[in-house]
Amino acid sequence: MNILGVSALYHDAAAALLSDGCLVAAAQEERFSRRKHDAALPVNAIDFCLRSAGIKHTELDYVVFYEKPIRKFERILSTQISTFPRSVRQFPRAMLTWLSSKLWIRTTLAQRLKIPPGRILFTDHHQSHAASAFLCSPFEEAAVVVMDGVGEWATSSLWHGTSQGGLALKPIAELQFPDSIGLLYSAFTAYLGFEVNEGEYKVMGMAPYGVPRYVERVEKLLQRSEGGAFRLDMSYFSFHYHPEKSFNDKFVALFGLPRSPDQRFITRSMGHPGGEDAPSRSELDECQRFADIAASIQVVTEGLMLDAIQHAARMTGCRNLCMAGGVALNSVANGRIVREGPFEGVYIQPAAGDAGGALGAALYTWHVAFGHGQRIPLDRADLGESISEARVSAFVRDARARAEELPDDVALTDRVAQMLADGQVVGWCQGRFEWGPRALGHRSILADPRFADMKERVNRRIKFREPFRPFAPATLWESGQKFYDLERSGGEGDPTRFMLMTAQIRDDVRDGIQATTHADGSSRVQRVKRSHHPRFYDLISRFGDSTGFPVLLNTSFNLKGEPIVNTPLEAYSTFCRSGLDALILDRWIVRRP
Amino acid sequence: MIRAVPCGGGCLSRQNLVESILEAIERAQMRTEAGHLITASESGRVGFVSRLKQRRIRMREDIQTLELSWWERAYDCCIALLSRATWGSERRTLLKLYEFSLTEDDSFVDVARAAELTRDEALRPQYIQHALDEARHAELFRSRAGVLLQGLRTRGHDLGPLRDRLIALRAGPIQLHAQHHPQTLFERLGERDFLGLVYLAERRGARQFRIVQRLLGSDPASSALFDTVLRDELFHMSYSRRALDRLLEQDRSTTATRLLWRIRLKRAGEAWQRLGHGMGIVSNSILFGLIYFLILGPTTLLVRRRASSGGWSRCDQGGRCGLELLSRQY
Repeated sequence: MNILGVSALYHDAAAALLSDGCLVAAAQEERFSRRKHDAALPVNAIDFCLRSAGIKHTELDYVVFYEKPIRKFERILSTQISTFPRSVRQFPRAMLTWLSSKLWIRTTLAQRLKIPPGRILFTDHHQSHAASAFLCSPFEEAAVVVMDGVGEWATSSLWHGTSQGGLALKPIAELQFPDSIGLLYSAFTAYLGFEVNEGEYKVMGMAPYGVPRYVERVEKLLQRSEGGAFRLDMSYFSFHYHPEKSFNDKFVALFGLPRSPDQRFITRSMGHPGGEDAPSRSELDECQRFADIAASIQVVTEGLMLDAIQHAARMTGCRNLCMAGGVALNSVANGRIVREGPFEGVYIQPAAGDAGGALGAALYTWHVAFGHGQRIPLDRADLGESISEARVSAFVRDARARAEELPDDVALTDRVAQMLADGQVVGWCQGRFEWGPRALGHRSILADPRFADMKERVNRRIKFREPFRPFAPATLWESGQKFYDLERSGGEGDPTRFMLMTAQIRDDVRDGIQATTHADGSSRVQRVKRSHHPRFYDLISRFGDSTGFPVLLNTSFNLKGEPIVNTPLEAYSTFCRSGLDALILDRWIVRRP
Repeated sequence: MIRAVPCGGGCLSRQNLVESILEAIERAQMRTEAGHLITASESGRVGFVSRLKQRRIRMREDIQTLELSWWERAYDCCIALLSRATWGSERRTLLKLYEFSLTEDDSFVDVARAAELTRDEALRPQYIQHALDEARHAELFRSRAGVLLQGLRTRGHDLGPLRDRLIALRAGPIQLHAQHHPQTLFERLGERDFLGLVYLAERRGARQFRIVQRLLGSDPASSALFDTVLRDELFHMSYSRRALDRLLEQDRSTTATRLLWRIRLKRAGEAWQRLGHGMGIVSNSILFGLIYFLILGPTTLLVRRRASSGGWSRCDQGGRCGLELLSRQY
């Protein structure tokens, strides 16, 4: 039986294909369309999934959409009514898109895939998320917590997943719109001048430069109740009636003027070489205010998440936790949950955002609706399109690239490790691209984290990002604890596999790995198992042999504003337009023409 | 080859797009400052540019010149007159440059896909080169837009309305489900028609860029940019037309002239549909505005507002959900 899961029409469209319960392929549409967070129907991702399985669309048994469109439309319509007349700008836009497109998703999918409409199913949004987490986890039983902006009505939900007596995913409780952790965090993301659904990482990156002195003011925005629940004071927000703005003048009166998107961010702790470009005192004060606000919202969010986790533990009595939803990508909060929470095991699916809903929808249908109990835990994320040896050879030939093929993996990893140790920054493309937003050694930019200026170099000359953005390290599974405080790392679930939690670097090695250590001593560490990615593992290992530090700076292979690369041509084009020293495609080392 | 991007009822918020657009522009600007796109002092980068040029020259056997018929020249003269207002304004120039960069981005996707899918061994290297050129052009346009933006910012101009326009460009028109184009151009059209479309699009681009280059005489940097891009457009025209002629010679099912006219008519039809689409959006927006006040307004008096409980609501459903429930959209 072939079941295709689809998420689309809001952000991060994706497709995932199960064939008799085996996950054949999963990919986000943006990797094919080259539009970041592409929300359009993921036709390219669907075609890729079908190609991977060697089937045609007519051979699909079911197509499962990741949410209930009519219930979502109900929420939108009733929100428009309840905010009349302030929603005057949002109403026509919403009606145009819903009545012309989103309400007809069944018809659209049926026409596009040429299958009967009766074979198109719909899971609930949070149900998809919960399934994507629990059904991919290694746990027999777990509390499942889903937190995001909003699905149909739910913004946070608690579930009890169990495989005793047949797989079941029982909903326990939910918080409803507009009381949303995700939307609260997004409002601050917008306030701090970043892009919603994209800039949340930047808020996390900004927070360590600040002191949480605005926590009281953030707490004014909400009224807490038992178990991590809360009610937002909507008089500060406008996301429920304005198509573009998340917060209003009352919010601005409380926190001060928002940060402009083109305003630079520089604090006293970052330092500045001086000169014409040196920041003024008022600029530094202003940036510090923003950093403090970022720190404050991060603290409040972590508190809410921890409370919700504790509540889930009390309600279910489970020892393990699965998390999903966009808020579960808050790796700083995840680190606290792993270290301070009541659960022994913590699992977070690598595409915890809306893209993961496609996978969850398919899994839910197969395992819960059809009652197939045998699960295969998802412990590796390379589910996308592959860069095969043949494909790379053909590309190198046709592009007439200046390239050298190395004879075997040992020669490759030796050479690249040496290049990295010499201070070169390389693009590294191997095998299938990753599922989810993190680069995990399949489409990565790699560098030596020992150089103090490497962070500035990669940010400024290669990725062209804001200077304050930190980079993440990749290290070996076995040696991770030598460098990072990973005494509690989520048990069997271990979020470090997918780079979904932060940990503190150990004091004795901090000076040795500066480029991947953030201002507060934390790192969003990835631990690599040899069984999952032998080449990447061997590379880190060889690098460690020659330098004493088996840790690499690992960042996603893309330029700012672009999705992570997919094909050899995209990698080559990105390479040519950036300051990378070399491009590694499979066993080829490609240099500039 | 402008693609529509669906704008899902406010999901692409203003803040989203402002930040990402400005990032893209500034990234390209930073890259120019870093010397990746222009000749720099370091020998490695100089080498990169000149070797790339040499390779492109080797690939270009007979580059077509842009020869226009009398009516095309007359048309271009009219366009040049009408375009003076646009290219004489720094703001409008910036918007046009950004619009061009988006088009080049879309072209990269289409041509890169062609390079992946073509079975023609001779064409694949040319598609690859073409795709790399498109990506580079997008960067060049964004970079130049970034310089202009920086200039406006330095002079204290109000960038708010400009940001609104950039957002609108990036979002594109609202896409109806029936209009959703499932594949890239190569997959939809096949090789011959794709080559014909490339030829026509590149030719149109070359004409447009030549007009702009002349209009930007007082801005040497922008004029030089268009000169660089124009040369590449001529290469793209040349190889696509040669390849098309070669394929049609083998095929003999139609002539190049007929095929190109068929494509022109099809594009005219698509432009007509886009016009209708745009008019439909405007008229529907007005209609929904009326519905909002005439129907929704009174409804608010009758409907009890759903109060937020502020706490966890218990869910009473079971843990299993059958196919019958899954088939419902509600």
